[in-house]
Amino acid sequence: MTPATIRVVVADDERPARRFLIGLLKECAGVEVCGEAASGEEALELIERTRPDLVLLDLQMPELGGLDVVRHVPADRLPLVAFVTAFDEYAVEAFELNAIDYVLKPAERARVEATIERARERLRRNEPPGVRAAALASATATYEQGARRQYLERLPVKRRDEVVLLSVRQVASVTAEGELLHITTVANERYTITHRLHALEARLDPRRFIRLGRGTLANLDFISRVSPMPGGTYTATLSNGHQLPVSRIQSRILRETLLKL
Amino acid sequence: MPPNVLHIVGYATGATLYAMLWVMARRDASGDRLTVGAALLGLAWNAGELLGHAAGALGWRDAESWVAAASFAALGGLAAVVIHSVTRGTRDDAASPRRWSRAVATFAYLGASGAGGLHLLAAARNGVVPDRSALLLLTSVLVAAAPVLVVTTGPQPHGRRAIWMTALAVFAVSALHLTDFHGPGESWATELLGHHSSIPLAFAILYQDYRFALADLFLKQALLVVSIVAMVFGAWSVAGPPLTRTPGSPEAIGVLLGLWVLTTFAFPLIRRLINGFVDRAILKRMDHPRMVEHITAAVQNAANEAELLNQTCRSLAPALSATQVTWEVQERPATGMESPLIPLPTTEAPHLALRVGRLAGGRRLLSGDLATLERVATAVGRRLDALRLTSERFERTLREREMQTLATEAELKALRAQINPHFLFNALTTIGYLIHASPARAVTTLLKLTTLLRGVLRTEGEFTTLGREMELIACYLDIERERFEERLGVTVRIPDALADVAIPPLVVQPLVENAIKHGIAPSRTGGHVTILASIDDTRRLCVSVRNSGAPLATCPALHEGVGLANVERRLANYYGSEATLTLRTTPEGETHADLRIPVPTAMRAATLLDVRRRA
Repeated sequence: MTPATIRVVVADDERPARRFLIGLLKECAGVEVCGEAASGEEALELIERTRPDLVLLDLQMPELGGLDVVRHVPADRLPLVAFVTAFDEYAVEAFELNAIDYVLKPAERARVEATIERARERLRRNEPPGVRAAALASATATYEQGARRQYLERLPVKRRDEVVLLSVRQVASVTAEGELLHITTVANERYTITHRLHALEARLDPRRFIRLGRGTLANLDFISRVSPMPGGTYTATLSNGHQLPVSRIQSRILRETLLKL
Repeated sequence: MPPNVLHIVGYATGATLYAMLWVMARRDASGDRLTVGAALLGLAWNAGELLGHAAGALGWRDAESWVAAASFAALGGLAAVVIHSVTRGTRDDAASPRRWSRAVATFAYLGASGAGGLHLLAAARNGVVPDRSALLLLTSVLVAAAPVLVVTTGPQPHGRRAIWMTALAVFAVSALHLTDFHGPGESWATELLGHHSSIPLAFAILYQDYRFALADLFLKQALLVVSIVAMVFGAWSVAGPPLTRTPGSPEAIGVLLGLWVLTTFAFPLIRRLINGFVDRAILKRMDHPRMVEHITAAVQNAANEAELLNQTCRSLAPALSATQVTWEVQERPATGMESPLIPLPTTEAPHLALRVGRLAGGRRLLSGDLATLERVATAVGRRLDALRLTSERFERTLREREMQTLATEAELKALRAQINPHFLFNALTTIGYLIHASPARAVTTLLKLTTLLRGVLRTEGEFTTLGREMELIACYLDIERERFEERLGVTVRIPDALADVAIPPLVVQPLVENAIKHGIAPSRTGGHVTILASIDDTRRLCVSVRNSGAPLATCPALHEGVGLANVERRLANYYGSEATLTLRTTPEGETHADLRIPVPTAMRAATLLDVRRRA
């Protein structure tokens, strides 16, 4: 018995990559490429219109990436999904954890055939679309968590009508005032951004930034002096001349980590 | 024993003491006028009496009475100065009515002047000097002033009040004693009390007012002189009468020499006892040598500068009876000991100093305190130097180790960042497609990728030229153009004259890659990348990589530019703060990455000439 034809949609913003993949798909038996999309929007529209069995989604597409496309398709109409990516260790990890298929660029013929075979197997099992959606959501969450593991390198700050991308190496201190964060640089420039301190702190390398109190973070590289104050607390002097008080609790941490050889 | 001898010794001792007081009070730069005045008056009184005795012995009656009048006038003045200093001591405590204090002092001075006038008048009239009524006036002034003083000095400590009250009482008794004509029948103790009350008075003044720095030294010396004189005198009163019976006999000379030697041997012991007595009983100071020893030992155990300084301050404050001792950083190394800021002698900046707070009872640092402080400062300074040396060595090792890990890390990161795997796999995908679609273009693209990889893998550290870097970038852009096709537009405008400027390898390519990654790839319509180079007005090479397309600030991944962090780190390694990399989005939504690096001087001159010639 000849296998049932699988209807596939390919989405990739780069034409050469898209054409290359389609070329491989066309060599597989029982595959019908029912559409190709050059963007996430096109992919959404194609999925809605052609109701494919399988969609090969490029992760990195302008505006709507592969993960965004999946998020925008209603769970009951979600086809089988295999992601395509050139290199993304976090994505690969997330997909393997959640049994989501993926294809690495440049795609190999054998791998594409395996993907088709697996899709066929799943269609035969008649897996409910809800399960698929749950696995995808879980993979997306894992991936985004993984991607966030990288620490911030630059902070976008406003200077007049421009946005300057301030390297975190230049940042000497961050002081919270309500919803505002005041940033001083080592050259003693000041910027103000709207952000929450704990959210920013979570994205900064803790080996570089240390909390001095409820509302202050300081760059360890620029703490030039720590002077003891009455009552067992400290005052940190930064190389840009600013003096910041260290809270009682942080003083203890400071003493146990920073001030100990 | 002849009373004359007693008087001469007594007056000589008094004159010595007051002369010492005067010299020391004058040597002390901040010594106040009252102490100097008291010293001069005391000196005048004692010297005057000595002179009077001499004049009497020589039979100069006229001179004797004038000198006696003057010295008695000085004695009256001395009493007034003591009262003044007592009232002033009150004023420092600031609790008593100031008006009363001033009135008492004025009253005492008026009384003393009146008495002095009467003495001189008596001398002029060839009357009896000292004038009886003058001495009575002085006594009554003292008696009248006493109750007011007792009331106004209420806030003073009792011990202190007792001392000056006794001194004044002795003085009053002495004045009364002098009003009587007294023959040789009086006991020598009475004579001593009657005529030499100015000696305890000197100590009372000091005790009232030991503001001048050498007060402790003076007290010790004065007590030493007094006790040596007393000892010699005691010995003489025992051994004297038998000796004078057979003057010149060998036994007499032997006893005399024996006493002399005994006194010499006793001297160091007496001095030590007196020093201890003054320090502990009178000045109530801590045992300074022991304290210095204690601090020096504690200093050796201090683990860091702050602990060392705080500990020293904590131990010094009670020892000096200061409200507090603090430490601070000085701009320049201060020389000399100027109180209350005591510099800690360290070889290198930051130079620190101890600041001594207000001392108890408004007193000033005494010479003993200063000596102690100096010794502590020396010990602390030496320890500071040692600590700094250790921490410097430690920091250097730490830095070296950090550099090492950084270098390894940087090498790895440089490879990962430069041969961006994402780029590589995308390039290979493109080539894969081109093999089917256009084999000739596939081969060209493959060769460009080869050239690029060779350039990237060239050893780190060597400098390249802007021209060679641009060749690599051209390869890179060609590959990306195959990938993004019509979405990527490129303009490169580099003056030929700048092609030979030396730059670290791969500092521009990551900027271009960044522009494509964050500007072109996330945009459906793509954008344009422009690369410009120029020499800016700070004479640095400025390479500007600009792109349109997706605006930077809205791109979620923009903050994670590992490649740019690597560029910044390498720039800092090569140029320190002279090289800068700024990233900004213009109001038009373009992103500009501006790299500025210093041009080597020789190169700069040649390049500038070249640019001018071409212009």
